[in-house]
Amino acid sequence: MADYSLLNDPDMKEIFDSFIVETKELLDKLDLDLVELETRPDDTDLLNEIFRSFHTIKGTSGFLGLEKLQKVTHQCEDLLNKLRKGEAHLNDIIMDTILLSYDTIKTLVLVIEEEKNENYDTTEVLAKLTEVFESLSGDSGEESMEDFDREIQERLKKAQEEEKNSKNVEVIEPKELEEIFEVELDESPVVEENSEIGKIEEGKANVSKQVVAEQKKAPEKKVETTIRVEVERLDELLNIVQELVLGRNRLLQLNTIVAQQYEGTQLSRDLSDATQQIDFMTTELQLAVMKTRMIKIGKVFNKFPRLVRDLSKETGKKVELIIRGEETELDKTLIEEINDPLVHMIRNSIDHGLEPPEEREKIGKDPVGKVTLSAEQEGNNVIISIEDDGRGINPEIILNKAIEKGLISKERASELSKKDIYNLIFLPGFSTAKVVSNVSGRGVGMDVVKTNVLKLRGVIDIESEVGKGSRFIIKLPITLAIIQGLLVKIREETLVVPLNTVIEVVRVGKKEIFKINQNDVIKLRNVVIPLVDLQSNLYKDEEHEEIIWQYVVIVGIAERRFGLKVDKLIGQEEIVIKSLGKYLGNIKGIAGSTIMGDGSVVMIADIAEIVNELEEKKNVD
Amino acid sequence: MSTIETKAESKQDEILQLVSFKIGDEEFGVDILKVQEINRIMQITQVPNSPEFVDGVVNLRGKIIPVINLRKRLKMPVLKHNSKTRIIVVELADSTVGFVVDEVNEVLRIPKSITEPAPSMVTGINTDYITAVGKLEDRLLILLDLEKILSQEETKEIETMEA
Repeated sequence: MADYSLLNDPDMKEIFDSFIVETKELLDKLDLDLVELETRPDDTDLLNEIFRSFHTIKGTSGFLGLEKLQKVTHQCEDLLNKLRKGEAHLNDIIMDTILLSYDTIKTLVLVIEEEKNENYDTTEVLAKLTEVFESLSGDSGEESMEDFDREIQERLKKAQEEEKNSKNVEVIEPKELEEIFEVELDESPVVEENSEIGKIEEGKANVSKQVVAEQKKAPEKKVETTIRVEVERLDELLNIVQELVLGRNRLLQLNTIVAQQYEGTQLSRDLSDATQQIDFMTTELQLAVMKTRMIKIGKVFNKFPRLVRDLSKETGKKVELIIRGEETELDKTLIEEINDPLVHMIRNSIDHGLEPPEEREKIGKDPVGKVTLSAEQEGNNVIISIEDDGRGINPEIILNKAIEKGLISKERASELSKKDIYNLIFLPGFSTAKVVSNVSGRGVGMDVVKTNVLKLRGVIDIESEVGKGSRFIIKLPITLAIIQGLLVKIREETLVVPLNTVIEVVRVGKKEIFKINQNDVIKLRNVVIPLVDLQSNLYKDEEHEEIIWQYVVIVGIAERRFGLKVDKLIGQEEIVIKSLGKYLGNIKGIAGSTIMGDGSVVMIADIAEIVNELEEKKNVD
Repeated sequence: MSTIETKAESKQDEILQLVSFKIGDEEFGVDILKVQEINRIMQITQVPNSPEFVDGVVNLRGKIIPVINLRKRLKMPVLKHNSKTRIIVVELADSTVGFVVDEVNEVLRIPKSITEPAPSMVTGINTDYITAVGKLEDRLLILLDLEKILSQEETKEIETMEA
């Protein structure tokens, strides 16, 4: 039994912690690299990169006395070395073995992190690795050597191109370079371990130092411009800024009062100047702090190539995953929460969306299905979309299914638009797959996806065309903590309607409110918009005052429009969202609360939830 | 009181320090260590769709805390807030919560020996919240476990709300 006392040694804590963080980072990178390797098995740079990652993990785990981890990584390294030297060629068996080991290492690292020991069975993986390794030991033909040569020549070509691009470097004829290069190689017959690249580089270095530096070392020579900061500290900073925003709001309010009472005096002018400055700086500070919490969505997206690879093996469908916009940034909390919904939707796209290759070929489509995952920023929102070129969603099938499952009544079904029908997918208990497969179709899923997205104050939308494919669009706010809100009054209670849902505000006469099926509606520019009575829905207050004019806030949830009845409009304000605390937890229809400039607490309405709940009630009726 | 205390000390009995408050005619006591502060009634903001006994939330120096109406919680008739109404702010396991009570009386020190488990018929309240009954010279004091008050039926209620 190995000795894990080092892991629990308080003196080692820092080292241990950084080992875990670094290893996890390496594993994240490996995840991506390995899938990449499958498509470009001859890419020596990539192989070296992968080799180095395993090598680093091996080194540090050895230092910490993690025998199992060291053993597995060591064997992976051996296997990769064979590939690297061209003694073996990447095939499915090797790839699967490496991926299996990768999974084992990942789990092992988790166990190490949580339990501070290595209680995880690695014998199977080790046996597999040995078996594969030994099966490879026999052959090492000239073929692979040829590959290696070709590889080098390709690299040389690249070097020359880069060289030509940079004017400072003298141009050397390709032949010349090749000759010198070959000579170097001959002198040090095929290389050992890490020195390989070094040697090759030396060869080139004789010719032109700059080329080597640019081509080979560029990715690694990146100067360290980042530091690690504990999330807790960032959270603390954000909290302080939020308090500052509240204080600023209060100052603004006081300033208005002073400006009115001491109009035209030096005092009011000075105060207003000072207030403006504080206002401006607070906004800047807030933005800066928000930015420190932003993470590139690539962190989530990069996990998906592997997922897609496994899914495509599992389902027998050929899938090409295209990722776009991984540079898009999102708040850390959002990044953490968005992973699961995305996983589920990708599973769905591949499992339900894409047709099997034979079927695709029959209808004249490329047998390889395409799934496109993209992210882009649009104002204060990030749009994430998952698109497939599969069979699309057939509204009729959805509708029949929903009626059959009793999720919706027949009468109601006839009233639904195509959009409404797509939205039925998000109802709990809805699953259209005829056969429950391993991948998706457990009937939990899309409703969970929707709940999660709503929780992040996002909206989800579906576009689809039968036979051409479907597209799921998630719109998320960039940050969770601060939003623009429209303050309205309902009887005595003030309520914040998040401004991102508000489309317009209208005032209608009582006579312009009509009834359809006992629901109030208004006609706005020839579009019928259902009204939502917040007073009775939220405050359970059925006594309505007689009114002549009714303010209506028109809100948009995806493509649908609703009108909220409100008694008074107060104005627009920047709102810092505060949770209602653990005790009250999640309250239906309420996204949180905020403290106003005068110290009063105001609720923030969760419009999507309110509307959805009403719809669900209606659907069942 | 003094007689009780001397008796207690001679016995070296455990002393309970309590904050006592009134709801209707009944007097209650809670562990003083749990109480963070006692406030006059302040502006309470309604929280839609919250459990019925939650009066709303208040702004406690920048922190938003829920306020529970003990009258509603104990199923007593609701009383309009007046100048004697107080909010007892209590620090519970993982959250800070305020309780609205009719009035706060005093801080008491009583020996544990004069308390006994509540007879099940003593009040209309579910006796699970009641840790004990303290027999003072002239009156009875109902010792409440506020944590239990929050955690029992209320969780059920929230569950049914979600369903």
